[in-house]
Amino acid sequence: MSDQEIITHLRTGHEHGALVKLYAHLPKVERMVQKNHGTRADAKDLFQDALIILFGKAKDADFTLTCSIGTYLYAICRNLWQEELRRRGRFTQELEAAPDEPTDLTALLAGEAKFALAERALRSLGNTCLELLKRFYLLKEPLLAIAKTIGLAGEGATKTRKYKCLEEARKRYRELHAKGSVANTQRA
Amino acid sequence: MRDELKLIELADRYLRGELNAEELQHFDERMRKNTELREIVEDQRALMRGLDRTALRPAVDKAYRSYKLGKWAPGLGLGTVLLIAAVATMFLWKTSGTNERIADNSDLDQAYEQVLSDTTGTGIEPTIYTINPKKDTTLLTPNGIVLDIPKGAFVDNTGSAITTPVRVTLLEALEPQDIMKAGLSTMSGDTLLETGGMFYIDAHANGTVVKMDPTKPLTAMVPSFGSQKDMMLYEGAKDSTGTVDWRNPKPLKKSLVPVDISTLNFYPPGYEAKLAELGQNVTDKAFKDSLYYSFAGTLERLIIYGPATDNVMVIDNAKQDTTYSTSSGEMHTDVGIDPAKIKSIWRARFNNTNLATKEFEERLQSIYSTCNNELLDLYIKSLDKDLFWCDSLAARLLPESMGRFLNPKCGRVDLPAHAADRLRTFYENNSRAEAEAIRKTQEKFWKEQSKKDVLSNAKRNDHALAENVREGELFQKELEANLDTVYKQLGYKRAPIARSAWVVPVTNTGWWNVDKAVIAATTTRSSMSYTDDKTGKTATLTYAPFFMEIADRASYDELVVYLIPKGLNSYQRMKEITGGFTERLNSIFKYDLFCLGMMGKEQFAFKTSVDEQTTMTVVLQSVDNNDLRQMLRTEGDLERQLLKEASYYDWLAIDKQRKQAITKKVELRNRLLPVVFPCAGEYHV
Repeated sequence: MSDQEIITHLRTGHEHGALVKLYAHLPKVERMVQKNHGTRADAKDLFQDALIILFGKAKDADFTLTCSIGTYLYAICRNLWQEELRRRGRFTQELEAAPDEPTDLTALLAGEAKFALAERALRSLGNTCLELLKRFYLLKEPLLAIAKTIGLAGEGATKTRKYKCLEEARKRYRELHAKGSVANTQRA
Repeated sequence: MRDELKLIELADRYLRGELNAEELQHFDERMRKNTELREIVEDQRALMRGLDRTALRPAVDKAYRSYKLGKWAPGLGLGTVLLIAAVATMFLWKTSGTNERIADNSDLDQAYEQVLSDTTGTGIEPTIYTINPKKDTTLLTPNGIVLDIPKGAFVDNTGSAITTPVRVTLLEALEPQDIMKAGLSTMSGDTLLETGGMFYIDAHANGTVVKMDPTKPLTAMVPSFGSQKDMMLYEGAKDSTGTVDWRNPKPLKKSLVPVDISTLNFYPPGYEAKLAELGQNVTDKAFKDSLYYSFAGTLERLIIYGPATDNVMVIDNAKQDTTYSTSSGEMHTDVGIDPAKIKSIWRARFNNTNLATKEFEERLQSIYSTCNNELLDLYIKSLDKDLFWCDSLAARLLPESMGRFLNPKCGRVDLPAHAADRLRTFYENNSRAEAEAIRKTQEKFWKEQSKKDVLSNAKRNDHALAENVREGELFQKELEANLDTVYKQLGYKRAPIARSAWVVPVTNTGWWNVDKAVIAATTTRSSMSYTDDKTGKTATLTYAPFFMEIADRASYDELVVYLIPKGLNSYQRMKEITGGFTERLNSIFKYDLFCLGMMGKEQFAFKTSVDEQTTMTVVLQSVDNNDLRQMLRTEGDLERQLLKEASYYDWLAIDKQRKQAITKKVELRNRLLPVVFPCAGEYHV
């Protein structure tokens, strides 16, 4: 599967095979993390976060790769790990970058850091809220259908609950943001 | 609250592009003016993207599981491995408790070849793959079956390997309704089999059906559901009426005989031999165990604790040539097998399991050579499976190291229900806990040693400094005494020397020469003679060599000899040369001699006065603190100082022993590192 094919698969909903292929780059990331104060578990979490970022990016119609996909993934991991080391107070020096790494990742990763916090806030909400929001915003189901699935009284109740969930999510997101915590969402 | 709801609703519609041109303009204006609205929009945007992420995560996790499955470690009990040795056959797997003796696989015959066309009526969509038979291929089917096809698996009628692309067709029926739809029965002779699932596989090259090389079977890992008893594989043949008869249940295994696990040898290869080589006690199991286990706790972080600059030594992970490439990518090896894992399993709790067998002991030695901890985990986490099951996975990916365990096929030690799960949980938790506990112990120990080293250095420095100061002061005193003597002999009065470097006012050039001569003599501790021109008087200073030796000098760890010039309230050390101690004594003083020695923890001493001798042989006596006090009673102030010296050397002997023990410990550790972690790269301090 070529790099372009991988991107296409991610874009068109045939992501399973593409993702499995991408995990082939995990050992390299494991080595980088272990050499720099991290564990294998850290590396797996880190790698999965990077995959999520790549996955999200691939869905952007105007996303083009300027290097190999492995290099791109590694660059994301490297940047994220440096950030994590800073957060843990163990950052000593920049980790070695591959020669053809993209240099414009800062903006992307800063944005993703915020979304990671948002993800964490959402996951802390509990199943009902999360299901509701997912069905409404991602699956675009009508409120009445959602009410039936989740077991709420009716459209009105669901609408109110949706806003309550959103408000709570927003509140928690703001809290996390204020703490400046750019923690790994997997450990939430 | 209503207002805020409205705002959020508006923000929602804005973000989804549902506002028309006029509304959009309004909204933009409001955003410009209203920071709260801007915030709400930003937050909402972030939350939406966060929501996206929560939806992506399951796919990422699922792919991870498939990746691991494709690598071969089934993790937590998913997956059964089946060996497929013939194509164009249908396979059914079922749960069973009995093992039956098998016949060899029969060759393809006409009935099998017709099956392909028969499957078109099954209502199941075939999946078709085209593979390059010259390479290893791993396929993942839509239903999650992982199919591993080794290179050269397909052969033609003459038995030579196929080199052109091969078309592999797969039909899967994992759900009962699919099986029924396909009109497949589950009869084996007269027995109704309880099925776990069925699939059909065949392969064509250049339009003709191909055969399989029996030495290179395909491996299929199927997701299993429900209980994990041992799975058996049956081959299906359709008879003339179209009904499938299932026959040839798969091979049987050699039964395992459990032994007492404490009688087995789970040490890494070469470990005991190395210990013997280093002169260590190889009969003390507790010692061998704890020494080996002390290396645990390093694997996660790749560091070893010790007296290094930052108290740790860093290990480079895996030499380059010990990574394995498979079709699913690189497999990662560690620097060695984690001793914490061995510690977790080498205990009574694992008696009467697959691990407490000679067969496992053999495999463990090979596993050590692969440096692959996941491989070790595979065996330990599959105690409810046949050893052969683990062996086939292991052999598939590490044929050089693990291939030889495929024959004979080994079974397992039967476990009571849930025992395998309990042991697995115990193993996972315990390995981690052990590793962490050992790591902490190591860290603590070395930190303490480091602290002791710091204190020890400080103490030694202080002692050396004090000695310098004392020698300086003694010199001053001796010089003064010498000058007084000389001046007296010449019949002059003398002004005391100023302590600083500038010169005393000189009234007569003659005096100045005297001082210089005396200083020279005192410094070099040599005799001198000076005649005053004016008076004709002569002054002399005499330094005479004195040599002493100590009986059995070599048997003392520490030895120091002091000369105490009476009346100066100070003392000096005698220089040690080969064979004894020497110094030049000043004739104007009477000296006492005081020796201190340490042998292990025992103190020795001797005191005497030096009369006219130029040589002396001394035998030290064992002493305790009281004896020392008696000896030094007559020295007045010096008693306290000399007792302090004694206690310093007492301490020094112990400290040197401590340092030596540490050095030995480190050396032992370093010599064992290549045995415990044979796949490490370099070590950096």
